[in-house]
Amino acid sequence: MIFSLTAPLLDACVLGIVSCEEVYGYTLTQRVRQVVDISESTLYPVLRRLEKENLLTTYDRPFQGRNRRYYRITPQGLEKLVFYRNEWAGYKMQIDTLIGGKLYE
Amino acid sequence: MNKSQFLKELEKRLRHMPKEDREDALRYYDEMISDMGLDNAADVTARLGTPKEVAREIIGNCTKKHMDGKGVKNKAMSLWLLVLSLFVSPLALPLAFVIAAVAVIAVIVVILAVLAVAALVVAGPFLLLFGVIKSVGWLISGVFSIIGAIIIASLVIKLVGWIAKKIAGIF
Repeated sequence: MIFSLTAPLLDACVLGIVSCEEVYGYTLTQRVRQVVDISESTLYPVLRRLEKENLLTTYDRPFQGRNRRYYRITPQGLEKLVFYRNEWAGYKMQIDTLIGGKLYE
Repeated sequence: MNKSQFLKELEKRLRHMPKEDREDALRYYDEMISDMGLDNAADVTARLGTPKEVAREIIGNCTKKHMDGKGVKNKAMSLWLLVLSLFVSPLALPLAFVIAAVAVIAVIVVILAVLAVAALVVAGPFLLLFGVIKSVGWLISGVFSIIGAIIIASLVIKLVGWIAKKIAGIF
């Protein structure tokens, strides 16, 4: 893959994933890795920050004698996700225009 | 290094963080390593990075987070975390080196300056006897030490500028 994710885009992807399903750290990382080659440790600071900004919450579920931490999106997180979706749509259109050579169509 | 070595090393590197943040981070990596199936692996750093790299990421993000906070307590915390992040940053070793070098150069410059002045005073009357070359040699060594000090000083100024920018970001 030749295009890299900037920080806001990574935030948006995480929020997007969490809005669809309640995942724990490992699954979340695997989902993101479908798109970009990040290391398993890259996401921790992102998740921690999103939690502190109240866009995510966490809860625990027991699993094989230990606890697994799951992530869930908050109402504020959903708002932010909608914002990111709009921003992305606009940005995507501009890039498509330039790359697609549609400038003079 | 294996899982427990990794976590132990990470805990050590995060020891100056707030307890809650440190325990949250350790818990995350404990879980992640288990979920990756690396509980009994000989080396977890191949997938996760070294504790040093991981700690740097965590502390760096913690600093940014605290920088957004308001109030004196947050600013003091931010400054402390900034100092911390300096020491886990790639600048740590060069910084220590520059500080040591500046101290050494400062001492040498002072000594050479005194010697150069003394040499000029002494060399004056003997100029005709020992030749111009010897006193010029003293002058040149004095000039080189001053040039070296200027180079080091400019490096230090750049560093101080970087630090000042970061501190300005806090306030």
